[in-house]
Amino acid sequence: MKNSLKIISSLCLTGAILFSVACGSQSNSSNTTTSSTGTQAATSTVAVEKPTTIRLLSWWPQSQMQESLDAFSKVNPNITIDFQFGQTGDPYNNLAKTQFAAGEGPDVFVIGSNWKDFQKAGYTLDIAGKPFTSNFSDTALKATNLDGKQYGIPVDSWFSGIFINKDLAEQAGVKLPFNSLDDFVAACDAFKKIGVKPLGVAGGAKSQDVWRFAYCEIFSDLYNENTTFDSDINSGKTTFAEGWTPALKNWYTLVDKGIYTSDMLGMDVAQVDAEFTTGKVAMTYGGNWSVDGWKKANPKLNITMIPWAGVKPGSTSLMAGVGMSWSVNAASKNIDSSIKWLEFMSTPEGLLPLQKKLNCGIFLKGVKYDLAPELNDALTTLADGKGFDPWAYWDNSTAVQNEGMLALQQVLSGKMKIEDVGAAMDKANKSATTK
Amino acid sequence: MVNLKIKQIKQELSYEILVIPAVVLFTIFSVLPLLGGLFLSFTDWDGLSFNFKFVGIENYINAFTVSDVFLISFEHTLFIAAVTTILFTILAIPLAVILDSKIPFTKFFRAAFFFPSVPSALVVGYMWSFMLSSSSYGFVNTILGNFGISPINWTGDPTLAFLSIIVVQLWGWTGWHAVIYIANLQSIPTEYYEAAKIDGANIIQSFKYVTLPLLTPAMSMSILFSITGAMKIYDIVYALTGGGPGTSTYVVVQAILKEGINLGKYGMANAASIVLFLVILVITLIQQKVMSRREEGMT
Repeated sequence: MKNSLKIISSLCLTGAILFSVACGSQSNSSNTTTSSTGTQAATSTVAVEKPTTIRLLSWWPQSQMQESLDAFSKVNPNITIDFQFGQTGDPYNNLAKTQFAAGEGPDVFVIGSNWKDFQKAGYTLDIAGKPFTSNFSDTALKATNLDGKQYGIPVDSWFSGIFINKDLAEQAGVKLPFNSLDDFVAACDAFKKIGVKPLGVAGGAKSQDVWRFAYCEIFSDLYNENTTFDSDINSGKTTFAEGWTPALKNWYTLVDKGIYTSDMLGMDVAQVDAEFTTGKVAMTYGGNWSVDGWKKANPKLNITMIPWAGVKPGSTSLMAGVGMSWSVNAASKNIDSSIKWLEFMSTPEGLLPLQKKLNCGIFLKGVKYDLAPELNDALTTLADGKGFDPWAYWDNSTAVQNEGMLALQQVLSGKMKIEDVGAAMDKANKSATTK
Repeated sequence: MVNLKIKQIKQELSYEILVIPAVVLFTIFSVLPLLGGLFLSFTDWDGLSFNFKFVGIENYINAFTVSDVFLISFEHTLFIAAVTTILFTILAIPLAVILDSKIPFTKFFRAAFFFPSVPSALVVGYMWSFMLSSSSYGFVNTILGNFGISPINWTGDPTLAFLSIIVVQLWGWTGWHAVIYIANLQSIPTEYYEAAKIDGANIIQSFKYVTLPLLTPAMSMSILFSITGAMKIYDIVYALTGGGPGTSTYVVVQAILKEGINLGKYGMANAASIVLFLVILVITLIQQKVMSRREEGMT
């Protein structure tokens, strides 16, 4: 039963991502225009008349949230937002947990794949039945639904893959998109011939990027055909060693060919971005969130996102998933004002400014939005259902991902064999299960 | 006699009253959290919920048996503490002697050597990670390239990453330790040097038989700060290498954060923290004992 639920959930979420992206309009010009249609007007059950201040803990910096914050203030002049930003990832989670543990949790906060930790501790308010939740697709709401209770409203869907410099590709005679891993290798050779580093990867321990294209190879080789792998991992029917090793060995051929190199371990995202935006590197990993920053660094950068292609011709894949959700602290002293924020972020006026900054898909019914044209070439792969984020379904996701990241770095530095990576992840999975 | 004692008590009381604010702050921000951490180290607290149960010493056992990350990180941390302490002592003392001598622009050089310890360790770490980066814009590799030297993987090679952390620590803190030695140097009576000169001692002999022994109090302080600082090192390692590649530069505080707090194992994180506290306590007690004997030998 649990396995069936996992399969249904993964299919629903893939459908939700496709739904959200399908609603996005595509523009062929470099200047995007925004068009939107209204959604069902969200109505509040309680009006807030007395001036209140709510503390909002955001996953995104104020520079990305400011437009939404300003628009909220216009609509709700009685509510002041005390904005706080937690650096994406572990720093955000640790900050949120520390605040909650001290009894000083924010009124409104962002929840991600670990939302059940907060739900179990009683920190997420049930908003099932609130009128504004019907502005979202049911499949997207399922991401934060448990036993009929709704604990958040979705913000974004994300997707990521290879970004390639089109000007350099033309110069090197590289044809896009890639149909197989051999095409990718040939492209790397072509870039090397014109004196350009083919691939930039932030392989340092401060990012997980060393794994990105290894994941994609696994998706292309395994997940395109095996839809039950993650539920089998959770039930113990299979292991990472058994399922992932063949694909990891295919990825490892890129190390043998000198495409993945140990100097990538000494680089972080900012350094790789600097190389990519200045044309020192032809290809890198990135997502819908990357385009805005890259174009600011170099407005003339001519890039496109393409899917990864595996060993088997035509076996393409991307990383993709449902992103974050807004939630209200069940222990908030300003519940009504906090709900007003969720209500506002359930409308195009609230959500579209953030969508524009993140270049993400959103789940508002009937709302059209633009995605950066640099993302167009990847959308077909998403529409074909080839976007994956399996870690969202593993019982011990954080522990397994951490161990996998350490293991792959050790492979790249020559301290571990690729055949042992799966076993290391299995060990971490087992020890996290037997607390 | 009684009046004298009462007078003495009253006088001491007036000094002790002045210490009370510091004691209160120390108790609130150091002692109570330590006791709280000790309590939580015997529980399975996940950092969020207040429903937790006592698990005895399970966290202490699991921290060092379930995976070897904590052991590896303790090994690395102790190595960094030992190497940086020795090198700080070797480098800071001659630097202090030079900065205490009558060289031109003394104040400027003292400020210049002290300055690296002023910015936050995170800022220093990120700055150095860019300078040592193996990207096309890595400053150090660009300079080396001008001399025909191939790029070096400073923070991506396990051994060089370790070396980079130690070098950056030395760059950042040698000047700070030198200041401690300068303060001690300025308290050494000049008569000792005059007497040594009269006895025919040269510069090196003066340094060996007068300066070095009388620097023992500063050395004691410098070593104490070096050891305790190195045992708690995290921010510079995080910014420079992130603990990688793999676990090759993992330090204890990082292991506590990554393997404990980030995975919701706050009980285990507290257990590892208590072990770290005990290790630092033992090392500093031994160090203080050894140095105080040396100081007594000097008097």
